[in-house]
Amino acid sequence: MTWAIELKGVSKAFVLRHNPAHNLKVRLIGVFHPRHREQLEEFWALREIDLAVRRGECLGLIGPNGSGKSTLLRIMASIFRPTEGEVVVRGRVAPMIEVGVGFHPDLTGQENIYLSTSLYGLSRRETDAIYRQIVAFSELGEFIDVSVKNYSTGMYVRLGFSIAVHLEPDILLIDEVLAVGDERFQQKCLHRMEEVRRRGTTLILVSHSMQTIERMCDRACLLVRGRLEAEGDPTKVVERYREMLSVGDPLE
Amino acid sequence: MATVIGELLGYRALIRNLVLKDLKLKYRDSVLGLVWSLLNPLLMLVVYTVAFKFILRIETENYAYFLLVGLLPWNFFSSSLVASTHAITGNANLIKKVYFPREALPIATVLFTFSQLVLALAVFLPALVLVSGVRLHWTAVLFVPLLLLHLLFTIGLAFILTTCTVFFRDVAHLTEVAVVLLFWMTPIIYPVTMAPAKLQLFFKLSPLAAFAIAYQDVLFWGRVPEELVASTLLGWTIAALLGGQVLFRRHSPTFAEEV
Repeated sequence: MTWAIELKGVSKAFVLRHNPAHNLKVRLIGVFHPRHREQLEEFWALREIDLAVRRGECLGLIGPNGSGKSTLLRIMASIFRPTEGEVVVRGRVAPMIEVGVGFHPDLTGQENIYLSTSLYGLSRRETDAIYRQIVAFSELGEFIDVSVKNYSTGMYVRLGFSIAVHLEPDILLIDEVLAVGDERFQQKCLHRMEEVRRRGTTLILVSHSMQTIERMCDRACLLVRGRLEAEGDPTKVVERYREMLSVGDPLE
Repeated sequence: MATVIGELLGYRALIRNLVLKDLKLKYRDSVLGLVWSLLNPLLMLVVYTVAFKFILRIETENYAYFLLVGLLPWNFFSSSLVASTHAITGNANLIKKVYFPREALPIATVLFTFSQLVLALAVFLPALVLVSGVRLHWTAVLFVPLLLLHLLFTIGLAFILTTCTVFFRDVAHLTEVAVVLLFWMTPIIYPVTMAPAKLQLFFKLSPLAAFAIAYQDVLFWGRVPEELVASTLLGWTIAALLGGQVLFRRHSPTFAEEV
């Protein structure tokens, strides 16, 4: 068995700054007035997560807002470093936390494609190789030479998503981005993601759409207040989540 | 250090695209385009020449050329430092969304300013050599390695400033004030020989002054910089680059949480 991602006892604490002292004035005042001193509070976004993702698996992450799904994704993507525990990631990871990461409104679609792919570590030649596919999938046609600021929301999303699904990473992390775009394009994206999966890409999907989770995923994880509450067959985990919601969890 | 360089080489397309982005944004939709990049140094040259050559009467021949030799690299240095303070805090959206070696941001900022320096040099250096009729000595070839050394030194300082700005936003304002003060304390508009002997030694040990002195040596006076100046430059460049890189790497894993 080869693991794409292994998390062992991963916890993440954020420091919440009340009266944040990012400037010297506040620090100095704090020396004399304890009441104005920066107050630090620890907030544990994730607690003791043990999770291993098989290569080629599609894992769904569900849970209420603020349960730590996005934090978990960012830890897998090395954007955050865990406070405790160990993370092993094998292969190139492409996090898609937002569509159109790195897009600059004054640059054209073409220029933004090259900028965005290079953020994910692709060389110019690697981007050249997938450029036509990206443009074709995005259905932008001649608009590819127009500044992105003139795009409609739909066009923007199509381009951003098209880049993400053509990066061909070993591990693709997707956060909620499917909720955007029209119905037809959403279906197209789901098809494309299934295709990507068949080629052996490991997929990790955060979604509030239980339908997507049940359709796409081999396994699902339910996160509640930073803890792994349930894990296993997507249908069962989704059911468990629904039960929890119907009882009326205070977090929702 | 070696791993950082290796990682950055893998992301060289990113650094290139970040610099290209800044260049495109600067020149697109502006009618005069490149001229704007030249106007600023041109005006500075004119004003300083009038003030120091004709009013204060500094007795240096070919004063405009002398001034240019130190002034253009200084402009690169100071605007790099000011811009680099925002390299991380100004790109929070990228840092929170995707992993890439964070060094790429300050490096791209400095390289963009460096491209402006190369442009200004390519226009003004030949022009002033022609107008003033100075004869370039063979030492002029040393200008290239000096520029590269200056580039590395500036990148090292950019690492330090951009890291400090993440934790203390004041550093950005402080830097803006500091570069103005440092300009007058650096022998750019006056030759170092005008300073009292004690101060001259200080100049030769300080990296900012040593760069100016070395530029004037190879391009204006036509001589190889003295050993003391050369070792100051080498020593400070290595210190800035190593120290900056270590500091940056120690803190860069937390940038996504702090910005």
